[in-house]
Amino acid sequence: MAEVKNHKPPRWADKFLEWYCSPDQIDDVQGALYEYFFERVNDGRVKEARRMFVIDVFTHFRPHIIKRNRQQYRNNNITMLKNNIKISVRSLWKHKLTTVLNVLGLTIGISCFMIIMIWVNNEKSFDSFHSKADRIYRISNTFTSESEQFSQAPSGPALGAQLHKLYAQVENGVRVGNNSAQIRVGDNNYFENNMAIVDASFSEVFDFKVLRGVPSDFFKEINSLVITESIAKKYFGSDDPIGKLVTMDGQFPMTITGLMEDPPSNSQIQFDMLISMEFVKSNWNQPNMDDNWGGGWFHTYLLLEDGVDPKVLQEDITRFIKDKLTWFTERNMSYAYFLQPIKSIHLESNLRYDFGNNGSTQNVSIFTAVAIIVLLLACINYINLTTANAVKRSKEIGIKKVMGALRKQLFAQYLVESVLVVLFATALSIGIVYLSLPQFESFIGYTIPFEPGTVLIGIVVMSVIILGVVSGLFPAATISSFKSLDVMRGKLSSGSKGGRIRKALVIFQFTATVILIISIITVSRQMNFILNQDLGMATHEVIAINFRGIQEVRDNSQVLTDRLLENPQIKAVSFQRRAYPVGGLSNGTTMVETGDGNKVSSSLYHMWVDTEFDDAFGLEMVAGRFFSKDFPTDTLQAIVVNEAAVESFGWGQPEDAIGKEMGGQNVRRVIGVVKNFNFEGLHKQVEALRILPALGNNYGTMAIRADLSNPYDLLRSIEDTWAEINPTVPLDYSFMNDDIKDQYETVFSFRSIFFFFSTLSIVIACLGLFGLATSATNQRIKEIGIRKVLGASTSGLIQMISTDFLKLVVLSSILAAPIAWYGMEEWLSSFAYRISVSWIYFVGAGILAVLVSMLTVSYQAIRAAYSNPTKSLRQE
Amino acid sequence: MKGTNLGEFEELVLLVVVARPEDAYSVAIARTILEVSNRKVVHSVVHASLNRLNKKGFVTSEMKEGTAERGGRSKRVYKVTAAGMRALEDVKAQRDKLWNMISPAGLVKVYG
Repeated sequence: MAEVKNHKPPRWADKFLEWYCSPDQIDDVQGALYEYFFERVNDGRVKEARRMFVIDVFTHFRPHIIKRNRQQYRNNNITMLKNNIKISVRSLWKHKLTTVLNVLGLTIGISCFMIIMIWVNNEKSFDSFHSKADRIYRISNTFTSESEQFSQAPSGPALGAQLHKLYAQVENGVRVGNNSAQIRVGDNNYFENNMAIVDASFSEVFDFKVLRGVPSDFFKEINSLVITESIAKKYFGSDDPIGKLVTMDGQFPMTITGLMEDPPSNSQIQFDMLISMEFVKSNWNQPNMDDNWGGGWFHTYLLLEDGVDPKVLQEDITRFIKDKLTWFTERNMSYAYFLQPIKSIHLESNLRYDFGNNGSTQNVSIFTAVAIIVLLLACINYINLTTANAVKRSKEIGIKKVMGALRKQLFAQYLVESVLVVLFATALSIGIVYLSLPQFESFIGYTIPFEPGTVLIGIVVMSVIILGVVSGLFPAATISSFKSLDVMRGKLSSGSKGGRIRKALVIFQFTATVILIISIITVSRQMNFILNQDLGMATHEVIAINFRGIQEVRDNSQVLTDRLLENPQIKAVSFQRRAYPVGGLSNGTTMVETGDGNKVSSSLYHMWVDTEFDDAFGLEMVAGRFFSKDFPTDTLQAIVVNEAAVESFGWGQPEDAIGKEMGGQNVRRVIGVVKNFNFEGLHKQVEALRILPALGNNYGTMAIRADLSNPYDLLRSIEDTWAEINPTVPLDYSFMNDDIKDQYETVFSFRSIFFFFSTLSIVIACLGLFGLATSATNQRIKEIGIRKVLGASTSGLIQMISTDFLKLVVLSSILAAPIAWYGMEEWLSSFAYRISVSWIYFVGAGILAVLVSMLTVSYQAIRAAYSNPTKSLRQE
Repeated sequence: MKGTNLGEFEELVLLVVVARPEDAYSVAIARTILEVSNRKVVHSVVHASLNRLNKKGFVTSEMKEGTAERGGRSKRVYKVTAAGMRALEDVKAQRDKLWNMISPAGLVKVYG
């Protein structure tokens, strides 16, 4: 025997057998082959034994004993998956209420998330469609004088004209200015407010789509006009616009040389048509414009070479320009230039004369937070409802376990169930988002490109599947951990499994909800505060007319005024140089005599108006007088300031301001101080302002103050008079209150969106609470029955069931208060005119949350309390 | 009826299982077949048909402790089931029926 033992079958063949043979067969087969092997060895046929062993190993290599390979395991899993899906669908169908609540909550949550993410994505995508976006910077500046400092987006015209020639680091430069124009096409007159003045390099730096024409030839001729598709449609219908002739501002014949696609909505530069800088230079009488380094004329974009450090370059430029601006330097005024990456401007830049369509990082983060909260609430809902409902299904789990189901398998089944629910909710959400996006767009006031199948949707779908796993993980873990013995004995009660976590989740949910309620209250109070804020002007009575300085109207201004005043409804008519207020005021540098008699440099807002301006806008004088026709010297020597100017120059009392000097070469004296009126919108404090008399040939706009109780008749009368006196000029009027409202458009759309999503999240939280209350009462139905039998009162029972939930809600309110207070203080700090957060909001929100949750829970509580105990106790 | 049909070799194996219940494992079965029919059978063939019989429900099996000559590996010992017994009897009945159909004269004629 010892001799036999020394022989061993070929190792490699043995290994091979062990590798392929399935575990339940290996002992039998290997044993048999050993038996043969040793039998032959015993007979002395060692070689044959070895040979036969190998042959046997190979002849055994048959399907029935081969180890199930991975492919076959996968097949098995697919079968299990099919089974899981089938069981999931059945159980979802069986627990209809829970399923509906789950799908509803998740659908709302996912839809909100997707819409907000599409919006956020759009906000973040601003200007990234330019192929060179990473190298495009806007050069903006901070102006400092002896009396103030401010940052503005536009810079002097020389920067855009010369920097790329002077600096090797700058590949190209382009200036973009905004202007309005009157365009005559055939017999039709149009006012266009959105004409951009650009350099010929516009198309080299930016990637706005050109449909017709050659970009490099656009402005070969000075009198060239490039229009967008929508303008082309408006002017020429379906005709080819190229080569067509139009008249601009009644005097310039312009040839249309190019057709562009409308700028994408996520572009900071929005335009309806383009004219060239060269045109402006020759027709605005600015031949030396390109050598003017100071001021804020145009938005100037620089295309930097690869790898240039903008920080270093901006220091260089600041130093270089300082030397050029000796006039400013002598008066202690200076410009500090800084480069803003074009992609960051939309969200991060908040400068004077910045683009109107700028967004804010704050809003993006607020909405991202809301999106995540809404989604989280929906997740928590799902987790809570599913785990609470699991007790109902504990028998199913118990039986499965007894039948030999592994925990892993149960886990997989519940995971499949949650992924299924989430998938269904996602599919619904995609439909909802697709259908509701137009509504949302009209809500926010601009379009968002949405193409299903984009990367965005891919990301959303991916995250949603992850969501299914995350929200399914906890319920799956809880459910699969039930001990079969406990389940069968009925030991499992509502509180035992994950009850504490569930409570924590409900608290989280309601904390978020209370925070949102507090936010809603605060935001709406703040909005009302702004709307009802006294601007210091009679805005509700003012009709503004913009005739863009057309000479015909200027010439007829006196006749027009007289004729308009014949209407008893009209109280005053005033002409100004430009549309005032609100917003869009320009500023200029000057020298100002301060309170202690020194002269300091300053740059302050200015406006040019006629003598009737104070009457037309209902301005109050706090000292001195306004311009008057009785003082002809006013036009050259007088100036009116506001209270803010009195304060900023340290003149003391308004009366003391009278007679103070202002101006460099032409010195004017202050003749009056007007009460502060808000000309820049209420998120900004009223700043120093000087009001200068406008000369008749400078008029560009007019304002009519009238009794607007009967606007229809009034407007018809104005239209008739206008058409009679200025037959060729279209009447472009607006109510000033509407203009002011437009100013707050973004704020209002912010409010609407915020309200909408907050309300939805509250709805989600209530859905969850409702589901929880349902399952909690269902589990306690026997207890309630016994209590009733023993004489508990209905009201006592309702109280008992509700208290559990109310405790959580009250705790949530307490937790929410400090967080909400902090958040709201942050938000309000961006307003110059703001309310303070009051404790009443917190109490109000708390009471509201309690009421809402009472309503949600009480239905279940009442149902349970009134139920017939014989029914609940009959079984078992 | 592929599922319950008894192949020729399977019949042989099954008969051995019935005839030698004390030695009803693959190696011993192969040995018995060698003894009875002088057929040299490869182990894998026996093993495969035992597997098939098992699948068809004609035999059941049980793991028994192994011996030293098997390198300590345990072995699968087979036992005929009622269905297996019936299948054997059916086959035998069919054969008998056919044998009975053959008249002695017929036999002579065939050989003649």
